[in-house]
Amino acid sequence: MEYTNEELFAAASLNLQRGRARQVGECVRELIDRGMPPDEILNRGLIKGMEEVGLRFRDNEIFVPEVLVAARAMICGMNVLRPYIVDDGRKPVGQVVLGTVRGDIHDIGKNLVRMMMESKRIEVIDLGTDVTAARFVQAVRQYNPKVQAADSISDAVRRAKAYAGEEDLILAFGSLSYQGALIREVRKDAK
Amino acid sequence: MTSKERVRMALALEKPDRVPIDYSSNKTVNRRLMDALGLGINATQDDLYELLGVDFRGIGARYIGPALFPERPGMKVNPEYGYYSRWIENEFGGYDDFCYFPLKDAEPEEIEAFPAPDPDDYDYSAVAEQVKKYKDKAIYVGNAGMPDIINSMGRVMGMEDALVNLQLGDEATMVWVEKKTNSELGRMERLLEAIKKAGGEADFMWMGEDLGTQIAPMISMELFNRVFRPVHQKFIDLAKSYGIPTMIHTCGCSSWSYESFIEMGMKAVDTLQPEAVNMSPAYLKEHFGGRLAFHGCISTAQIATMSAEDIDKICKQTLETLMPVGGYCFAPTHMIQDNTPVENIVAMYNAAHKYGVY
Repeated sequence: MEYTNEELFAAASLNLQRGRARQVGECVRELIDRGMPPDEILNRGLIKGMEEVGLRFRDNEIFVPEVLVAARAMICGMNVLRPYIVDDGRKPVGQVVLGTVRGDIHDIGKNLVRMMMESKRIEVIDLGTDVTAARFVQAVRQYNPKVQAADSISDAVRRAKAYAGEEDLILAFGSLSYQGALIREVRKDAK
Repeated sequence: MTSKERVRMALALEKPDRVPIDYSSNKTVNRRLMDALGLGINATQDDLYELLGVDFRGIGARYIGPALFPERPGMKVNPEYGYYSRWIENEFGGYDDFCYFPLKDAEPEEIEAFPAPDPDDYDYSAVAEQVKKYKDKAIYVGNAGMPDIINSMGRVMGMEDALVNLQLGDEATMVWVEKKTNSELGRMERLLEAIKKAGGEADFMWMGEDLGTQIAPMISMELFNRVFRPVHQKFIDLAKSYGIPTMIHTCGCSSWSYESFIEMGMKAVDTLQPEAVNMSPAYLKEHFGGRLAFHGCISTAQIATMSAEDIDKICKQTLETLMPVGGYCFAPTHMIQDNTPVENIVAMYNAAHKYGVY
């Protein structure tokens, strides 16, 4: 049975939501073979699927494992698609420096945030875990990102605010220390 | 009333002379507390427990088998389960945190072949002495880290792989979960036999599974029923065969699983982080009061950051809410953290004795 292009876009999105990595890759391959623009495959297939995952996660319809499985399916689709979008001349919508602060080596929350950001075409400079203030500052100076994001289960996040040194930097923190507020933004100069 | 009698009554949802009291803390703050209370370098942990009125004591067996996992430079390795950690300092103390994951991105054959300790490789000979020493205390076997499928898998393959493999029902992972479960069940059985042989009686089995984030379930009910419930049931059934109840530790927003646990024969739930969604004392009382005993509910996040006066108030409120329904055991929600002022801990335990009397 021959699927229409519309059906294939929908299938890519749905398979991604259900975490069927192989099928996502196959849908993307088929859409490429049919000459669909890579940008359209990304937006109408993969990103659309990941947006739905984000909404269902927000509404407690699915949970962390389902999000991780979907994110891996997204990566599988991206691996097929990437060679075709490398040279489209478009830049990422922005850059984020991301890390878990010194004194903490947990990374599940940080990685989830990274996956969500990357699905939105944000370039993430992931510094990993147990990241010192000096390393954050160095990365911010090196990359000049719009956002620095820090995650930690300890109240070290509060101390991480002191890392801010750049005028227009948005700081985003996620921590149990915030009593359930997973992400809170602190703008030095709100825009 | 002895500690044993007190805890037994609480686990049976009855009202003893006062609420049973438990304690758990990080090493650094534990030492600071002992110093502040005048317990010198020669004092034992039991001395502190006596001072605080702690009713609970765990009985265990030390692993004496071969090291199942190689050493790695700069890391500590748990010889039974292959958890690699290193000391991560913070300004108040620190944690042995997990830093190397031997099964990360592993092939199915490697996961299946990952060893689990032989239940015979533990020293059960010290059990008799512990039974004698703690004859009037409430004694338990197991701990919050058993089977703790999510965390124990996370420690060897990283949390991402662990959750993905569980969600996908990865066959090799399931083989390893079963192997580890059987090892733990075997150890519990031998421990309970050793306690019986020593003329003692365990009062309950303690198990754990962190089933919630701060704001939501960690996993779906479908995954819980498919993977976790059958494993957890084995522990409950083993305890039941020795005539003792089971208590499960469940961090975070976990009350979504409690109806299932009641169906499975679970008698008590532990940790009960009041700041997590659907975990407040009032919520727990309304939904599960008189059907489950409660252990915990004094937030370690709050006692680290509140004033001693506010801690007194919040402990009083918690006790006033949960005591009338029966079955409440006063305890911190986690190990008391290193950034907690000792006067706050003192306020917490003073409140337990002041307001926890029936």
